[in-house]
Amino acid sequence: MDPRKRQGILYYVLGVLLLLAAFGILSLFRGRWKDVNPNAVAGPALSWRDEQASSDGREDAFSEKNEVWYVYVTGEVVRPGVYEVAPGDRMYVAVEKAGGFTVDADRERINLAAPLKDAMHIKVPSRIPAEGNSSQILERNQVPREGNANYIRENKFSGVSSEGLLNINAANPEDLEKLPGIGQVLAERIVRTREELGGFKDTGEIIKVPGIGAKRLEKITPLITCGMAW
Amino acid sequence: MISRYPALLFLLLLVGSLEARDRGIPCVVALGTGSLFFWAALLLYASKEEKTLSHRTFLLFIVLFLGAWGMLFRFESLPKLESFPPSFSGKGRVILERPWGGRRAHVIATGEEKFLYRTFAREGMKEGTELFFEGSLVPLEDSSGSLKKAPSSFDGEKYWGARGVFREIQVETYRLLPEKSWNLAVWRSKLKEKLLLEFPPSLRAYLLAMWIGERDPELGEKHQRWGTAHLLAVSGFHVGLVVMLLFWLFPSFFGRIRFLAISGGMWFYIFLAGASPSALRAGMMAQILLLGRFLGYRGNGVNAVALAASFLLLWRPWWFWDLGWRLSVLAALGITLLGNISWKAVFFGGSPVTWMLTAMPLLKVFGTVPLGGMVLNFFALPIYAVLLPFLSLLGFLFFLHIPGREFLLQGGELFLSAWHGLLEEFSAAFSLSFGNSETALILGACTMAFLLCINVTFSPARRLFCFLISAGGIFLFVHGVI
Repeated sequence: MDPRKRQGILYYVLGVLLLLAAFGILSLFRGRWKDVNPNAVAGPALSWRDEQASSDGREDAFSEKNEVWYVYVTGEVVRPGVYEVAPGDRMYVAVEKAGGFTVDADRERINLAAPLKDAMHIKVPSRIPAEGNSSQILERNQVPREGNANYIRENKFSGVSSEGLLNINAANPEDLEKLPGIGQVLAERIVRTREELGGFKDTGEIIKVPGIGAKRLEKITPLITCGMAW
Repeated sequence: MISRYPALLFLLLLVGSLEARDRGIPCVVALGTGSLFFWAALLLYASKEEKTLSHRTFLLFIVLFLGAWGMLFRFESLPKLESFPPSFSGKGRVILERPWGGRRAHVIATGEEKFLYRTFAREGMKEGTELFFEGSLVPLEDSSGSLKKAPSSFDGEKYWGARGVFREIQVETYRLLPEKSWNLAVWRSKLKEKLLLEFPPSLRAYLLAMWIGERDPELGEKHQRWGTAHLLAVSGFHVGLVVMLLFWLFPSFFGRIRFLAISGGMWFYIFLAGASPSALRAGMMAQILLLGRFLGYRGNGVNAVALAASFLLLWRPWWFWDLGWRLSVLAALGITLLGNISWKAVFFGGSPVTWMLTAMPLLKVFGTVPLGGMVLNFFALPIYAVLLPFLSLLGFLFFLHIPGREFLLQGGELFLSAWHGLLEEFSAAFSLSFGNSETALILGACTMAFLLCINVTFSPARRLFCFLISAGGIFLFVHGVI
C-alpha cells in the first residue's frame, strides 16, 4: 500500500478514536442538573447513646428539629423556584425566599400568614386579568393598538414639559390619548384617578389607574412626567 | 486543516474545554477533552497537501493549549462571594438599562466592579445616570435561592457574567449626581429619548434597533413571525453596512488615516449600539480582516470568524452560553465557509444555510422557527441592505432640522407600513413553522459537516466518511451543549 495512503488511513482511524474518547469523557458527565446549594447535612453517628435517646423519645424531637421542607413557588415572584423552608414556616417565608412579589402580584389574594406544607406548590396570582376572560376586554379593544398614528410631537400638548415629556398632572384627556396604548377610556380614567388622588406624586403612581399594568407603564414611563422632582 | 483553518481548531479546543468544565469535569480533564476534540478534527481533516504532524503543529498546539488554560482560569476565577464585603457604598454610573420582565435591570459600573440593580419600572434610571448609592450585595439569580435548575432554563450567572457582572446590589438609598454630558451612555440615553419622542412608531423602532441596539417589542414580534428577527439585532449585517459606508466616506487617498478612521468609526458604532455579542464578534472579525488588508494579506473569513469568537471567549468565557454569540458565530461560519466555495454559493445558499445552522439553538429557546424565513431572507437581506441605510438617512436629515422634515418622517412611516403589509402577506403564504428540534439538529449538523468537508481537499470516498463522522460528532456535541 502507498505509504501516504496508509498514513491517511492511520490518521483517520486515530481521529475517530480520539473523537470517541472525547465523547466518552463528556458522556460520563451527562447529568446536568445543577445543585446550587448543597443541602445534604450529615446526621450524627449512630451509637448506643442514640438508641437510648430513641427509647426515651428524644430522637423524635431531634429529627423534627432537623427536618427540611421543600416548596415550589411560582407566579408573580421575583425568583420562581424550589426553596427550602423549616417545618411550621408561614407563606411569607416562601415568598421572601423567592425574592418577594413582582410589581404585578396581587398581594390581597394570597394569605401570607397561611402555614406551609412540605412539597407544596404556591402560585402567587397576578392582579392583571388574563386576556380573553376579562370584562376589560371590551374596553381594551377600544384602545388603538400602540397608537400607530399618534406619536408624540414636541410641544403639541397642553401638558408638555420643557423636556418634551407629557405632564400627567396637567394634561387633558386628548393629550393623554396620544400616549402609546392609551385610548379614550384610559385617558378619562387617568384624569379621574388624578382628581381622586389630588395629583400623581410620581409617574409610577399612574399604575393605580385601573387598566394600566406593568407593560403599559413601561411603554409610557419614558414619555411622561408628573411635574415634580422624584 | 491545520494550515487552512487553525483558528477553527482553536475555537473547537476552547468550546470543548468549556463544555466539559460546565459538566463538572475537573479543569485538567476538561482541557484534555478539548484537546482531544482538537486532535480528532486535525487528524480527520488532514489532507495530503499538508504536513499534519510537524513540529510547527505541536508548537501551535502548545500555544493554543495555554490560551485555553488561561480561559478556564478566568472562568474559574469568578469572584468568590464570601471574599467580598456584604455591602457597597460609593459612586457609580448606569451603563446599561433594559426591561427585565415587569421590572428594569440596570448595570451600575463603579471604579471597582459592576453590579446588577433590578427595580420597579417606575424607579428605572436612564443610561448615563451618575449616582451615589448604598446597598447590600447578594449573589446573582442562580447562585442562590432556587435549589434546582433545569439545564434549559435561564442562567443569570452566565448571562450577566458575559457582561462582566457577578453580583446584584439591593440599593437601600441613592442620590443622583449632576449628569455628565460626554459619555457614551448619556449619548445613548439622549438619542433614545429623541427617537421615542419625535419619531413615528415603525421608523422609531428600526432606528432604536439600528442605532442603540434596543428592540421594540411589537416590531420584534413581527420580525420573529416573519423569520427575520436577526435584522433587528446589531450583527455582522449592520457592522458590514457601516464598514462599507466608512470605506465610501474615506476613499483610498486618505492613506493610513483611512485604516484608523474606518476602525474607529466602526467601534464607535458598535459601542453606541450597545456592544452586543454579535456586534462585538462582527467588529472583531472585521478588524482582523481590515488589519490583514492594510498589511497586505489576503483575509480568510473563516479564520477571522473563529478568531473573533475565540477572542470573545478568552475575554469572557461566559459568552459561550449566550444565544447571541452562538447565533452570530454559527451564521457567520456558515456564510464564510460558503464564501470559500464561491460567492454564487453565498448568494443562493446563504439564506438556507444560515437558517439551518441557527435553527438548532433557536428551536431550543423559542420552540418553533418559521419556515418562511428561509425564503423571505433571500429577498429581505438585499432589500434591508438598502432600506436600513435609507431609514438612517431619514433620521439624520431630521436631526439636521431641514425644512419639511416631519413630512420626510411621515413618508418613511407610510412606506414602512406598506412594506410590513407586504411582508405580512408573504409570511401568511408561507405560514409553516418548524418545531422538531431533533430534525433541526440533524439538518444543522449535516450542513456544517458538509461545509467543512467541501472546504478541505479529499478523495470522494474519504469525503463521504469524513462527512458521516463529522455530522455524527457535531450532532452529539450540539445535542449535549444546547
